[in-house]
Amino acid sequence: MQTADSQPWSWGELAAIVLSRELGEGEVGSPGGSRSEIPLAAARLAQLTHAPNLSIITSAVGFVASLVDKPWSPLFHSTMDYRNIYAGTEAVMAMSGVFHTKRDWFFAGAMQVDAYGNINLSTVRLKDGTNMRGPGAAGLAYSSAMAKRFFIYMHEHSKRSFVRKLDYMTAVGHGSGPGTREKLGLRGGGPALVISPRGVMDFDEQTLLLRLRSVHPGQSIDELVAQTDCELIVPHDVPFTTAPSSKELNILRHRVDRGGVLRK
Amino acid sequence: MTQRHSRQTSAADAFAWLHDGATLAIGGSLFHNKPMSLVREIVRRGTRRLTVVAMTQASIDVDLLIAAGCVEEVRVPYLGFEYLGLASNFRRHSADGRLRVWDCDETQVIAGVEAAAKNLPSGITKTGVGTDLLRSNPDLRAIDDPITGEPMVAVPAIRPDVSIIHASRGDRWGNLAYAGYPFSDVLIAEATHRSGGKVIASVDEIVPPSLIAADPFRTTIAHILVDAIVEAPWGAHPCSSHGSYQYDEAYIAHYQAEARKGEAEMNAWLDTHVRTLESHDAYLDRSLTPSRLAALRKDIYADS
Repeated sequence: MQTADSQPWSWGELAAIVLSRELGEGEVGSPGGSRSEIPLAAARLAQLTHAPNLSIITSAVGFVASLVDKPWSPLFHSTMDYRNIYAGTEAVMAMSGVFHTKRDWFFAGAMQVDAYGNINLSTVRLKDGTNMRGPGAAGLAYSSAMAKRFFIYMHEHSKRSFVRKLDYMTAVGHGSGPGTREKLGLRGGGPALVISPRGVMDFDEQTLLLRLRSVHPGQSIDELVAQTDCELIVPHDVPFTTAPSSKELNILRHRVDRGGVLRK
Repeated sequence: MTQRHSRQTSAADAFAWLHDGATLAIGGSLFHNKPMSLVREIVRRGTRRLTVVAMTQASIDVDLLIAAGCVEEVRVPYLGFEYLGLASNFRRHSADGRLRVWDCDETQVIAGVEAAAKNLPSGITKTGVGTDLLRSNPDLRAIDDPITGEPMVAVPAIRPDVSIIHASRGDRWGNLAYAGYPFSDVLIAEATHRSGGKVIASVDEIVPPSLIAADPFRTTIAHILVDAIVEAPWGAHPCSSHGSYQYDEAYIAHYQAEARKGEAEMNAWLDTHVRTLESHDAYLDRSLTPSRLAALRKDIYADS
């Protein structure tokens, strides 16, 4: 895994903080994906900073949680961990409720992503012609179809992961561009943002193509572009990702992730 | 004078129902509430050609059955070890064609199992429209909704012949009470029962029926859905029994390390940890220690 080079925060911490800023007051959403502690921390941090009325449903176990005015909050690697009941859980939904309840956002990890934010979690073709199995769709084919928006976090930013053509499309992002989601009758608006250890990308409003929004402190635009195989819109001015503030880092480390799970 | 029948039995007796080629559903999710003592019993019996359905996620339960050569097809939306890595046996056996993979999303498996629970031929979902899931899995059919014409996906009913689930406690009539989350176990039991299959439950503890009847709101699954109940203390180990004891991270990490090395190492692991232990009691006595179990029990409290 790549780290946020020589910065006073880890990649996991930076991702959690950047993602937390995307989550809105009053929203309901579910952290998930391949390292679910990152989006879980993002949602808890949002509750403790700008979005005290945001509610979390840990989708795999139906824990409905808010950290606001709660004494303390362990962070664990897995959203299914029983110990998450101690982190502000106020109700436990039945499994049917987990799938019936509307969400403003979901998170997705992926082995591959393309320029329209379509993702592959199923299988990757190797150079020797064999296929390498990923873990499978989990619930992402569902959430990508139904949630108002979703966020993609990639642990690797390389030509192997940001690809022109997916080896397998497990979940539809913006499909083949404007009109795809409408034609398929997909409910939500699709992917809103992609974060990698190199930078933050969103999607151009007209073309729905991946667009570089910022590079992280310590990363270079040229290197990011060189490591991206899929189409990527690079605006004339690309700022650095707003660095974590001392307030954000302080709340993250003392109230969300005391044990340093995101620093491992 | 006729009497009420106890459904309490041994794992060995319960699996008289499980034949080669059967569809086996496994409850719990990821590292939680997995009926591992029953999984190990299946390995010891050497059942073959199973179609394994795991709802919603699987880890060591299904990977171990694959390694032991019990599985022909998997219908599992997520098979991996989350932060502890990918499923090595799943990858090896699917790469060389020994294992068929029925690609699916959680909500597609749920649609199929719900259809079985309702005694319907298929379930309809939005999930998978426009994806390669419909290409690689011919059982998933692209359809137009007959009312609106909207593109949808139909999933054939999934009818388990046998399902295995794990609960914290139960009574001899087969009532099950979960201390933590029941995941999709209620639906699995409903679908299996409705399809004429057999539901086999392991529990950490069988308690007097009066204790269950004293608080029926805590009974998660009613005895009418359960065909056999097997007492297996710490029976989910190395997975958690949600709310009773934590999963054994070190044990799973060791499994992962051996599984990654290759088939010979994996087979040696299976011999040591499963095949040569003739029963769950033998597993407890030889694989675990009281202090280890006490630590797993204590680990359910998050005290930072």
